[in-house]
Amino acid sequence: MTIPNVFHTYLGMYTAQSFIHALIATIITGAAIEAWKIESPKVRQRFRLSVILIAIFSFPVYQLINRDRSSLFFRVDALFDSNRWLDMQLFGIVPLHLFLVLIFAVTTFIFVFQEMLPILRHFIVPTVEPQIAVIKPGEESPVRRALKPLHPILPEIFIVHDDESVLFSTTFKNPAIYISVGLAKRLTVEQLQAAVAHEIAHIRRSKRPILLAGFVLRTLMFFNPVVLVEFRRAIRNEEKICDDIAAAITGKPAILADALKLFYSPADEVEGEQLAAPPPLKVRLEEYSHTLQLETRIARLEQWTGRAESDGWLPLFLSMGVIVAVNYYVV
Amino acid sequence: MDNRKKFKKHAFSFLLFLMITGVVLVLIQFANWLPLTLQKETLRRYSSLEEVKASLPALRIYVPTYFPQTISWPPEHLFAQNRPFPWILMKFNHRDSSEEALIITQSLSGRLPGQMPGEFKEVTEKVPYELRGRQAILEVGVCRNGEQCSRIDWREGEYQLTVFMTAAPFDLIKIAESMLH
Repeated sequence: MTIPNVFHTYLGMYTAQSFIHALIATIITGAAIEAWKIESPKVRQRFRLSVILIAIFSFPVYQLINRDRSSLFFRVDALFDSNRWLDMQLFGIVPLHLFLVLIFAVTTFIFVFQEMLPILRHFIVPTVEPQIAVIKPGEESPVRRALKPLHPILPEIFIVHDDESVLFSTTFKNPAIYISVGLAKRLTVEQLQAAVAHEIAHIRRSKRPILLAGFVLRTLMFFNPVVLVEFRRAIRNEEKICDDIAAAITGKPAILADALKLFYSPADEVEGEQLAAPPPLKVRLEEYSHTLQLETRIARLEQWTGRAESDGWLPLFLSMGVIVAVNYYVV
Repeated sequence: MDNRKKFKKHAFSFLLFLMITGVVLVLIQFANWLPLTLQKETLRRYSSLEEVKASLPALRIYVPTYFPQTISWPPEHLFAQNRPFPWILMKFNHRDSSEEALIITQSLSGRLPGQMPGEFKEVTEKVPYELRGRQAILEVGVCRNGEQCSRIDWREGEYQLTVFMTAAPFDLIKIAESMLH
């Protein structure tokens, strides 16, 4: 008995091709980034978001151009026919298309539990716990005085009465920055300015919500593992973009790097804290990823030159041209 | 950086990008070729019916013995597979032009490995037809290019046979009957 291959239907072809097209787009954009030595997070983010666009729109656009693209004649002579793999059977029993279904299912699971549920929880549960006091600092408060150089560009500031290091901003209609007392005590005046400048950068960037648009489109590709990775890379790029803006505002990238160091402590630097048992693997992996990302950001800021990089449009257009041409023959 | 250096840097980046793209293309082609090697009976193009018979001996092939003068032999396209299910397609062109004239497919229980050629734009008549004792469905209509088309489907043992022709059904029925010995 053979299990019918869902990837022979239009919906199946769309999902399979969106995955393969995104994979090829990632490899080719990666080649362009390496070849042109693109370091700018802004340009890199453009590449990442283009991969998501390719994944969503390539199949329907190709079908509009040539409706026979899905026909057998086209597939047999194509550069790559995914059904050759998907129709194969492992040991003559297990159809390979089930593995792709499994990959999509795992990705959907990760998307729901790591992206959708936290967002829903954010809407249901308040960001600051109700029992924690949030106050608007007076004009003469130490935080206000420390942030004086940023006053012309400073949005609303709120102090959160919490000893933990907390710093976040709300964007769009009511932009505001929330600083915890604990963090304000730990940071020097210059570090506080740098950290707040980073949040100002997030608020400024939210006026052109490219990442939000990217997220809306990305949710359509909830099953696509390549899109999952590329969108997360785009978010990391966003942090680096805001670091660059903050460095440009304060003119002191090394100070922002010092401030970032307070948000992580490498395993070998943990002082005085003895854990009864090591944390679960998932937590350790998340912490490792978080630390690694902060380390990259710190290293960038420590080598920050402030030199304007090329806008990278030529490599982007060139790679998009290659991707569109190659993917047309990938079915 | 002077212009000359800038140009050199761009040219080098461009060449490097082309090189990596070239490697990616080779890898894609390799990935497309690999399943044909790993699984001999998977869907592929054949040059003759003899080649199909030699490669897929388990596949029973129904070939018409009647063939109108207007259609060229051998088939322009010949695809077959035995895995994941047996299937064969033969496409013949008109003798005087390279336009599609006749498509014969046989598949296990009507399963298809993809979108089939030979589509109707509109079916004007669909009737049951007795084909040498088999219950067949005969359809007449208009093709996508506006020409008259006809198609006949019937079950032959475990196979579903379909004959599609860009013409009126007279020759179509003769061809279908000649496939049943």
